[in-house]
Amino acid sequence: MHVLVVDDDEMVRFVLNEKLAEVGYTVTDACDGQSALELFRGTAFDAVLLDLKMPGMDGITTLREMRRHDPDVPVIMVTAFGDISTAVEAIKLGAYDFTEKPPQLSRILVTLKRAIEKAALEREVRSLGKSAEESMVLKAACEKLKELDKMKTAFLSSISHELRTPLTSIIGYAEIARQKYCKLLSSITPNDEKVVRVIGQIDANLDILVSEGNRLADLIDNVLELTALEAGTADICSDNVSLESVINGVATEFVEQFKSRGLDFSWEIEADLPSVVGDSRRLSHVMHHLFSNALKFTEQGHVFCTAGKVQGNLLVSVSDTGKGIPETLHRTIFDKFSQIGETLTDKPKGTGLGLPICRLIIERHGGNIWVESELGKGSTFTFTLPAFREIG
Amino acid sequence: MNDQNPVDNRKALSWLEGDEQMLVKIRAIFVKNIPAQVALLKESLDAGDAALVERFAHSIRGSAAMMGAGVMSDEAGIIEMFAIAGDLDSARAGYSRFFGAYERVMEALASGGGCDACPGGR
Repeated sequence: MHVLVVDDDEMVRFVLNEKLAEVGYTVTDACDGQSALELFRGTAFDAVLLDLKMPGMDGITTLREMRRHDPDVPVIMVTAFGDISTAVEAIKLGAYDFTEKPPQLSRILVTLKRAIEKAALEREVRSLGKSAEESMVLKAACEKLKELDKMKTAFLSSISHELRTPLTSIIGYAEIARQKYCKLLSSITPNDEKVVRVIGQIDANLDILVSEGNRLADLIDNVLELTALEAGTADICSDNVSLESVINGVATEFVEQFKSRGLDFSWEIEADLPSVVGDSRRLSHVMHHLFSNALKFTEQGHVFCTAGKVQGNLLVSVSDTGKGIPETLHRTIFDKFSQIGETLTDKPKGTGLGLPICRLIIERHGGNIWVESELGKGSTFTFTLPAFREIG
Repeated sequence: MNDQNPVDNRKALSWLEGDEQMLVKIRAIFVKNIPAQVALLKESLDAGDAALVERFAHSIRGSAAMMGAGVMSDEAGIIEMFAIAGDLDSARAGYSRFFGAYERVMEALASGGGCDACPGGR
């Protein structure tokens, strides 16, 4: 602690220098107000002991200047023979306290210690106040961001609905045109090669229109599902669901697809697997997406699914021998619009919404989902769900 | 105040909290500085400069008090009060009493009139 002693009396300066140094203070002294101010402006003092009556600049003027420069440093006035009126004036100007001359050392030490502690506390309180203020600003900004996020979600949901309705008509009429009118035209003019060729071309174009339309419809459905899950407005059932039935159902759908790609596909479900409380349609969606991903990203080898019970939770894994996922993407892959296709092939395979939807569905069911993967060796997607009860 | 001794070492030691070594050191400072201040007081009285009289009388008053020289301090205080009131005639009249007290203090200090640690003993 650094104390500035200002007194025109050499005896006072000498004694205070010696005695304060004995108890650990660093002391600088000045014999008048002017030189004290110069020191004060250039050094960070923790406290000042200031004589009231000095030649030249008096104690009151010196105090006023010190307060103007740094109001936080406590100043203790030292006044001869109890000049109370001047001491009171000093207190009004912001002096911490005053002590009479000759300065009683024990009193000065106590006053000095209290003054320094009070100044430190005031600094801390100000700092805490500032932190609280910053915290309030951050909280307000956070609330604003949440509000904007809600608005964005509502907008996305609204615009998706608006897109979905006409798209349904487009796909429907394209399907009708392809299935009904093309066949009809072909049957009317079966011998005109040119007409047959044109009809075939129209048929192929309509096929693309329906296929791309369905892809767009899937994307919009995913956006709608994601926004509903994020906003907490998704209507999730709380049924007693047999995960074994869900896995068996979805896996069976994929048997032929894996086979046609030359991939070995199998699944193994632990006997007497407990049920879960949840939404079977959405849990089926999760399984569908995990099998679909494995199909997309596995060129050769096998895809294997297991389901079992681990410490009160159901644990389901889908492993493949695909190209794997870089470690840097293991967490972000569950974020919106994160597409692993970009890193594995020349073009993205998917919308970047499938895994985020899976994550939200699993989280809404009280579980977790994660991926373990090694480049060139394959990936394993695993999720947990709280077990409800044993199915007898 | 002890009439027999113009310097009351107990008073001086009280604010030094019994540190006799410190008393020896500040006594040396007092003896070194006070004659010049007394001379400046006299000069300002002769020059009729009330502000300077007040300032020097005030300084001497404080230093004397710290040395336990009560009479000398009181007499300097009287000069200071007259100077504040602008009554330099009264201040001058008081100076002779003050100077007498000052001389007694200096004699006492020169003869070691003070603490056991001071040169010359108590």
